[in-house]
Amino acid sequence: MAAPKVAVVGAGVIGLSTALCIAETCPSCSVMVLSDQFSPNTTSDVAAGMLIPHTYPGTPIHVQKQWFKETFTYLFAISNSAEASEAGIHLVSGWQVFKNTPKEELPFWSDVVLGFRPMSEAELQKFPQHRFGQAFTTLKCDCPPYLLWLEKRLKATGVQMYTRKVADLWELHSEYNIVVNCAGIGAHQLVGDEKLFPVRGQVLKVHAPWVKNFIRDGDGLTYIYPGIHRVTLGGTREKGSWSLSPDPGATKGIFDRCCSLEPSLWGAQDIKVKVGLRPSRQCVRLQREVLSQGGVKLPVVHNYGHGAGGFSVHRGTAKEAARLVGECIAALQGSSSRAKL
Amino acid sequence: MRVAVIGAGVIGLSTALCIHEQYHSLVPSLEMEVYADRYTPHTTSDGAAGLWQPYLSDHGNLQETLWNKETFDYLLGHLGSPAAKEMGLFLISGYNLFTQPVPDPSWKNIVLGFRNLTPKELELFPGYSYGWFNTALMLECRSYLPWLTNRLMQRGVKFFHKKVESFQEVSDDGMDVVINCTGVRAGELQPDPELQPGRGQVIKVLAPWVKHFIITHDIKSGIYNSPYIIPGSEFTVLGGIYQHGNWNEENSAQDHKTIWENCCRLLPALQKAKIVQEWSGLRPARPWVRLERETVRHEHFQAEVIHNYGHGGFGITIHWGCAMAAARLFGSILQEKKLASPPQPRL
Repeated sequence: MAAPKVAVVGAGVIGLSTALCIAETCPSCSVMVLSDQFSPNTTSDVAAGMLIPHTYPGTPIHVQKQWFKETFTYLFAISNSAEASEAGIHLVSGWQVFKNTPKEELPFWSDVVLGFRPMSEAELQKFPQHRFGQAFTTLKCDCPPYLLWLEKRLKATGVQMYTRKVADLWELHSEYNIVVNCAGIGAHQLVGDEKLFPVRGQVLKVHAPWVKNFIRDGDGLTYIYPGIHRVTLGGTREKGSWSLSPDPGATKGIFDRCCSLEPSLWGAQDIKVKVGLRPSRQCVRLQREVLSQGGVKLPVVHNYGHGAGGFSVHRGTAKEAARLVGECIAALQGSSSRAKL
Repeated sequence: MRVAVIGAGVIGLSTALCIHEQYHSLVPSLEMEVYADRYTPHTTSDGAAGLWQPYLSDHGNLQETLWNKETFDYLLGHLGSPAAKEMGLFLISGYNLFTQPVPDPSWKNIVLGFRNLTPKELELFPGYSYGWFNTALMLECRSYLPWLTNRLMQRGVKFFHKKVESFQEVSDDGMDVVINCTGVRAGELQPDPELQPGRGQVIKVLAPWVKHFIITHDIKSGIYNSPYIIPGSEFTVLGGIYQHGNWNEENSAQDHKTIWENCCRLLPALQKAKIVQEWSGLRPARPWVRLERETVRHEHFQAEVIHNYGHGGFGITIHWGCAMAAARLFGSILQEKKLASPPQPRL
């Protein structure tokens, strides 16, 4: 096969990073990104992009840790380079605080982030309602900058991007040899995955440039993540809700909870409300599938269902997806040479 | 009781407020006036980034270490208050970097979460093999000085734009106590060979992705002569110049080059940062802070003077502890004048 034509469906952080990995590992491939939405209108654009992993119940911990480590290492190098500001990647330090001591005092990722340690008594005094905490330094991927930077890297390697609503993966079978499905929450309709469900997240993006540290409540519901220009205040985790409309009650709840963690936020300006649907699943669907109709086959690589942890593992799953694309190419080449006999 | 405060930098204004807060109700006749030829944003304090951090070594000066701690604790207590934003006060974490191991500083238990850097963190800073991480405070004077000014004006303190030429001048005007917070130019009121300018230059840039302070140290070249990067609420301050004895307040192209190249080497992403301002200032350097009373006599006048100057590059760091100490000296003056002593039991 001279130049395998690969379509990547989806242009959020998963679609773009997967397309980039494929272009990097398979220079002879002709890669195209197809999506009905691009930055700043993807689910990724709503997220804060903090590298704090979410745990997938259906994936072995050592695999999740590997994905996180690969992602952290990759972004750490960018944060340390001249491209950091353009790519929107920066280090941020802060605290995760718990009202009750967590069962697991050392999360699986504690040795991947920097300087992880329990908070001192003096540090905890700033959080009178919380009894235990962890301090560490991690990375943040600000969007849109990170997605725009990925798009720029893709264009530089010859990958083209098209705005197109794909209703059915099969519709691509005549134009492409391999399809990579990074449709995120869109996979619910695109491939009819009933195991994929939205977890609705509402956030506030505010102007509060004096907030330099992150604060996260260990219950995952309240968080303050300072980005380059805005601070993301969160949030909600509404399982099964498909609504993309901002909920004023949730806005007030988020603001009140964040101000109780960080009182200076009362002075925050220019509050913007955003909603995203985390594409949630027991485990990330990262696997090959072959669609066939009437003797014609279309190899598919699925890479979706990252839920609340997309940014934390994106590079790791992108590399795995690129590896699976490599397997598809090998299989296609094998079968085409068999056909010649 | 008329009190003149000379100097409207962080030391002058905070000392004025501290004294007024403590003694106004005890001395109803207290009238306070501030005299300065430079007000915010043109004071030395305005040029500082505003990071609370003492020098590495206190040279056995435990008094100053205590004043630093009092200042930190005072500011920490204000963090959760609605005034914090207006004061320009917020928490910030960051790095101190060294080329060799050094002893822990006197302030390690004052700041929050002090620890050594891990090997992985040191990978971020090639050329540095040892370092500290801690969370400290920022107090931006372009907000803090106006905040202090507002508090003082609310209390009826009057401000005058005037260069005071001598202690006699204010004493002739009827001042009972003079608080001398004249910083680097204190020598113009009374010669002080111990006081020297420690010239600094900074470049202010737009680099909002920088969330940590980074302060490097070169034991050989001395304090502040090694690059530092301090992110504020609007601008990031790049610095690393300390020239003892240099009175020049003009920006130097050579110093600009030194700061820019060194800071970009430390944080390559800074190359893309937009330069917004360049500024030079004179740190009022002295072997130790001059914080003491003096009765200044000349022919037919006499004035009680409280000196509070010589805070070098740590004025913001130490200001409140010094203001409290100056207020105590003021209290002793009042007692001598029998103006604020508690009723004595009749024996």
